[in-house]
Amino acid sequence: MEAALTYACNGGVSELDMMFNTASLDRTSENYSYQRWEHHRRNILSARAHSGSGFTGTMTLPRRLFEATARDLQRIYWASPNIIPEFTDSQQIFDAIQALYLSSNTPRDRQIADRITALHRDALAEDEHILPASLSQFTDFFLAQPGLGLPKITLTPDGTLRTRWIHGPRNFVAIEFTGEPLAKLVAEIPRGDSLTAPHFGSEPVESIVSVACAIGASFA
Amino acid sequence: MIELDLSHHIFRHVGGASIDGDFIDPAAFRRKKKGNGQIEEGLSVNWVEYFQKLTPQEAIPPLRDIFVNKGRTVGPKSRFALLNVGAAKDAAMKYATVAIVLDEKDDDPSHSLVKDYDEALNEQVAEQLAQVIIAAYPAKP
Repeated sequence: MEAALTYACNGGVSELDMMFNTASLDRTSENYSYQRWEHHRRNILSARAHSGSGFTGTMTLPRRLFEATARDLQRIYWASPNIIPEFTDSQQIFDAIQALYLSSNTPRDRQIADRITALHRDALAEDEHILPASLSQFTDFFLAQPGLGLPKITLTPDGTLRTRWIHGPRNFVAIEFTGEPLAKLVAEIPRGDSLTAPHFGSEPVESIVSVACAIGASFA
Repeated sequence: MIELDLSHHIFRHVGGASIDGDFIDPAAFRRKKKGNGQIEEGLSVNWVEYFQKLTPQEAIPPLRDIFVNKGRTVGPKSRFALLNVGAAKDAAMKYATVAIVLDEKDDDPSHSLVKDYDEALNEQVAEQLAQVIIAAYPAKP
């Protein structure tokens, strides 16, 4: 599997197709649904065609994009007694990274994808993992919010992703993707005369940016 | 439990995933929920002066050994964040009066707790504690 991915990342064929085909074979051998995977593959190819990102599937993708996932998959197949949950985690990471790489907001979203890859690796090194629901919510949020700047991205000890746009001492806004309908919003907003307004709350993900902006937060 | 001297210091172990560049996520200072759904009694920290070293950095190798012997994973990017006890209590005071007490264990004699604040203030106290980090040293050389 890893060898196939490495070959795919080196170019010369359609890397994405190669990767998917190889993964499909492995998945079939583990009794995963080939139909579901094929459906997912078609969706990605369709998104690729409509994304305008210039991603053709024959470009040479950064090797590191797939290294962590490939290692994880290999580890899962040969070492883990708990194959399905770990595979689901890796699949979620893989899907999120691809969605971000295929987005039209390429530079920022590729940086986010790189960061998620690194976070996934760091989490595994400490027996932690990214909560799939949090990752999904996080990815959807950034794909829907192309105007936001690149934040600091971390993982809480609870496995939820947290983002923070820092503008200076006691001047930031942070969102924690709980995976639930309400995301956590934390902010400190300067109000002049050395005063800072702290804000701790929870808001629906769909409206969290507008709520934060209304209290003076900036996502630049 | 004995309260730590205000002039003394504590280390909080921060996992690598809670760090992005030079930024340490205050969430690393939140008390975690245990398996039974209840929140930890206090925030686990370690009393630096226990190790009787000239500098905080010199206390890290024996502290790391304690963590490893307890079965804790010390990742390659994790750090030990250094805080002054008095500064930590003052910072938390914005929201709650906290106690920082020695909670020594057989396998972790410097183990201490930041405690006595309500679960509802977990986020707020964590934000305040993160603001008074003096330094953060790599957990592994």
